[in-house]
Amino acid sequence: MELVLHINGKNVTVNVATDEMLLHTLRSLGYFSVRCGCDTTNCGLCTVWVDDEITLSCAYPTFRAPGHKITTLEGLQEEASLLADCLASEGADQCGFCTTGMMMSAIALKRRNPNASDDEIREYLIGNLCRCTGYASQLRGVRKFLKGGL
Amino acid sequence: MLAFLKVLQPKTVEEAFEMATKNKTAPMLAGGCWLRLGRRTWPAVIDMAGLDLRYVREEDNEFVIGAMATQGDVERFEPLKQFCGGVVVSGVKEILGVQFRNMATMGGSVASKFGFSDIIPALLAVHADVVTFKGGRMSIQDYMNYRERDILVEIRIPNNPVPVAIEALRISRGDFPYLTGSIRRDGRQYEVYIGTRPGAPQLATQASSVLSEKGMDGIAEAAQLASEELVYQKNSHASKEYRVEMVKSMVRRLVKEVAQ
Amino acid sequence: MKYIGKSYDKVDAKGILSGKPSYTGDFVPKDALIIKVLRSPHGQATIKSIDTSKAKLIPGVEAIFTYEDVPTTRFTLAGQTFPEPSAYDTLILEPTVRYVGDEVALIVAKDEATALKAMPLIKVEYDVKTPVLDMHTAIGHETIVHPEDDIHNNIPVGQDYKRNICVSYHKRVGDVEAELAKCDYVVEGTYFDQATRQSAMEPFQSYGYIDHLGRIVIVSSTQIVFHVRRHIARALGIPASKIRVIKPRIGGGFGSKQTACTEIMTAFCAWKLQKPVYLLYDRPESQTCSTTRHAREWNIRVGATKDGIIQVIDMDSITDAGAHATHCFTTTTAGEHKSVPLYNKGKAVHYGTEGVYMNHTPGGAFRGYGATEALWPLECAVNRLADEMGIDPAELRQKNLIAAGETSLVYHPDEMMDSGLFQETVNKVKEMARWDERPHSWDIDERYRGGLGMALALQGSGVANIDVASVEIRLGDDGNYTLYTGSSDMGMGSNTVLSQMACEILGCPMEYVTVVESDTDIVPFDPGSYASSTTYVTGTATKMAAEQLKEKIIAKLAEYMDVEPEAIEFDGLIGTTKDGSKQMTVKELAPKLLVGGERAEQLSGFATWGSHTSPPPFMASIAEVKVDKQTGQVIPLHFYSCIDCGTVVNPKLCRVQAEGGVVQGIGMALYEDVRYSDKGRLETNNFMTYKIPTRQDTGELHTEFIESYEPTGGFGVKSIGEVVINTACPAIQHAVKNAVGADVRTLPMTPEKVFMAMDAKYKV
Repeated sequence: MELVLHINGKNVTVNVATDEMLLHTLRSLGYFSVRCGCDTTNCGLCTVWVDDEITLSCAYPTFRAPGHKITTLEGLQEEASLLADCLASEGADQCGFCTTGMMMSAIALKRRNPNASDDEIREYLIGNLCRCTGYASQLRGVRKFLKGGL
Repeated sequence: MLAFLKVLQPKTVEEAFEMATKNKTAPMLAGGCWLRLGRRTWPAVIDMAGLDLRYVREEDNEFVIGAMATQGDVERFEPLKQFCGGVVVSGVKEILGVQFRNMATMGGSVASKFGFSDIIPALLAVHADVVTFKGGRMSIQDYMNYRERDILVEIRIPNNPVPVAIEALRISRGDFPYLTGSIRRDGRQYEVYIGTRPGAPQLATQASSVLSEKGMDGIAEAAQLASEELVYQKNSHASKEYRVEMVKSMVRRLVKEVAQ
Repeated sequence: MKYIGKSYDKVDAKGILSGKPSYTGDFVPKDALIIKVLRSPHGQATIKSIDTSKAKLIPGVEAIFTYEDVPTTRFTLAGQTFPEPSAYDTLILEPTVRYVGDEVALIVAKDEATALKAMPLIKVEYDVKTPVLDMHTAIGHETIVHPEDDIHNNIPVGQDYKRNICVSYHKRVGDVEAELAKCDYVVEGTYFDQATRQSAMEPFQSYGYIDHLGRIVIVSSTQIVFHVRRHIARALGIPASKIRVIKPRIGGGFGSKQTACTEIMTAFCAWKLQKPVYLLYDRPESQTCSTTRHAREWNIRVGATKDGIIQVIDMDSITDAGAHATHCFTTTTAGEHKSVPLYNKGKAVHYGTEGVYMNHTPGGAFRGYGATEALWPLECAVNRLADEMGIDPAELRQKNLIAAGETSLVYHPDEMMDSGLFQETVNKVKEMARWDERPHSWDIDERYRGGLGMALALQGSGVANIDVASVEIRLGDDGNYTLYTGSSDMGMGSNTVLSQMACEILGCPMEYVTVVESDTDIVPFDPGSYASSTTYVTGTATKMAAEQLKEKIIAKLAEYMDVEPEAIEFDGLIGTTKDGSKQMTVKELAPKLLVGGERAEQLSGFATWGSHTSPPPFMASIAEVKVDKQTGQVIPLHFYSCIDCGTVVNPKLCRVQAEGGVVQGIGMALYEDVRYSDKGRLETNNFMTYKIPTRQDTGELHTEFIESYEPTGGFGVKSIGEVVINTACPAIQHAVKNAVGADVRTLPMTPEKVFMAMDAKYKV
């Protein structure tokens, strides 16, 4: 089916299979920050924003996307860069494969609750699994980010 | 994976009902979170997103939750945070992560009637009703046994604040519960529901009547009865014996929580 | 030191965190055919017939390969240096399938949907055997998992294939029984550590194509490019020179990508079809069809005399090797060397295992590599011994701990513990946790009790006498440096650490060094990143290469400045004569070296280094937990660790390695479980069923370092990557036991097991 999607402020026409999920559509369009880790809505690697809400693109059918605002990390490079500095300063990037999805949640958190406590940070990011870091460095990095950066 | 060949996109609940009747096996696609776990390719799915059922509001002394309202919508609805100690919100807020709850719908959570549901025990305790297109309004307890192919429209919760409490026991935070329970105290009347036995939540009738009769004095007896009158079984998360042990202390904790 | 010991950001952080294409899946050619694997529904079966004719009729199906189409030379998928000590017991496809999920046929199609459409049309008739699913009955089972006669072993490992034994290893020093008889205290018990899953976030994948020279190029998420190339060469029967293996960024490995689970199939299809192909495992395949940590059941006896000396360590085990003996022998021997030497004052040791073939996912490498498994029963037993003797478990350990300059009963004659601040490390962690100042068991409130528990751990740094790394550092035409290495940065920051080491010698700022890694056409040989080897082995080679290059640069500067090399002081950027009269920058020098004339010579430093020893890093940990008396749930509150990993090159990255390892250990301790149905189907094959810790499951992690100086390698370094996973299971076990009296000896310690084992006096 042919659809017009609104991604990172731009309209994009795509032709997708009926049952294609947004994750795969976005990757085929070159938005490589969006990744597949589990495909069962458990890991959070595929997190994007749909109308500014963090959403698992692996379970979001592309046919539902028209009329909604889709945002990936590629569309948030200014905030991503600040957050990246904070994470890198704590060595929290490690393999990096899960990090971009977590960053989508962290940036969303900053917009909603910049004064989030440690527990609120953990709760907001809990849907983003990470196997490398043990999470502590991510917490330290996100804390810095919420406070405005390095 | 979620594979299907065709998507039916009704615009009204009637239309959805007709499509559901005509396509007897077509699953209804709400949040899509659970349907993904299957391995088959569906000839068609019915997309519930066009039905305009995403709302959470207060009206006529009831909370009304549209079937397509997400768990996240419920979690963020201020009046529900206050209602009954926030029990409905507590019923969703430990389910996986924010992204998941932004997608998983209340309709999907209720209609799937999963034994391990976190939400159903809370809804039972607050005496929620379910409104379906064909069957009309019915208590959630009746809905648990309702087998008709129908469209779940909304959940209605009477704004009648009484002491209620819920609990879900998990091995780790990101996991399904291995035992769930809820309790309601309306004056002297108690109701105890136990879920994830691993079967769907059920009223522990005898435990509830003992509590209603004896109050706190019946707590030990009620705990024992709750562990005997319902069916407990083994699954990957817990043995039968462990569930039986756990339900006893859970009932005690729940009673203490609503007794004051 | 100027660069060593500083917390530099990772050199690739910015690019990775912007979401730029970095990983294998981001570079797959648009026209790549998709490979899907038809997998066995049976634990053990022989394929009686396989009919692909109908499936091949589906438009878009390019090819379907079965065992009839593949070469018949057996190989191992284990990423180990040749001659590998793992049995060559594997074919790309074969008529015998050995676990639910084993490969039956390869479908190559224009896209995934087409391949999946064709899959059910392949008709397979199986002769199904009773699967071997219980390690206790595996030996001599009616079903022989590997009935074939062409398994090859490079070295004998006690195998007896007709009885399902793939490894039999027993090290005996001294007279265990006689010494035990002399002991005043003996603890014994059976301990089980479950199979666990590395669960790197990036699923296994590789793509392949044929280059303009007609060679196979494999791009893969692997820790071991050179081993993969060698395995492909053997499996396909073509020279390694016909193969190029490239590793882009990897989304985590933890040992799982030390086994080549996709690459050989990818290479085979690309070679046969002479077309680009892509094989991506979905999460259930990733969790099922790769490798796990070996499940092991231990029978341990530890004896001590009343003077507090541990006299005997007797550890026997059965190891579930799974369907292939990948890494089975080496995890066993590694486990011995990284556990037993902790306590070296005794007289007798027996350490052994029977590795048995079973119809499970093959065992393999997982961070800790045998040490995690062996330290679990040993440290639990030592804690019990202290209890029985009525002394502090820290004191018992400190009395028996090995020290630098000492040896162990299990060490080779010329082997020695060269460095290590063992006592200091234990003292430090005690101080961190206030071990001496508070009870180790206490009431928190009416529902919860608290407990403290302790464990120690060793690991190694590289594989002694085997791992050999080569590093080249080249001076480029603009005065910058490129460092070539076959090690694999899978996120731990080894490229950053190698840059720091190079800069420490060369003197130039970090941004002058670019690390090029893991492309077999470009970089010199390195076994790859595993066995905690990169900082120690590749790092030492880096130091040597940098020293050589520096010497060459100074010589050239001297030549151009017309002075003796000794007269020059070089700071990495500028050469200055000691009298200050002359100066020349590397930026000026570099282009001169690359134009015609007698003096032209591109400068490069090249070094190859391997060690005769594998210096053990040391970790001491104290777990603080609270346990729910009503449910048995264990809630980690704090995990204190002090680590002696030699010189800490990058404190920030070292700390994150420790935190990550500890949390993986917490998952293993409490809930991670590779669990099979009674038919042998893996029940925990995705992240909904295989639960790794979330960020609310970890408690607070406290990590400190004590730096000894390891004399054998560069800059005094040892390793950090693996030791950090080893203490969590026994330390948490001890803390739980202290809290509620539950002595759980079967991992994971789920609420149910803890509750059922809880001291009755705590059950409310």
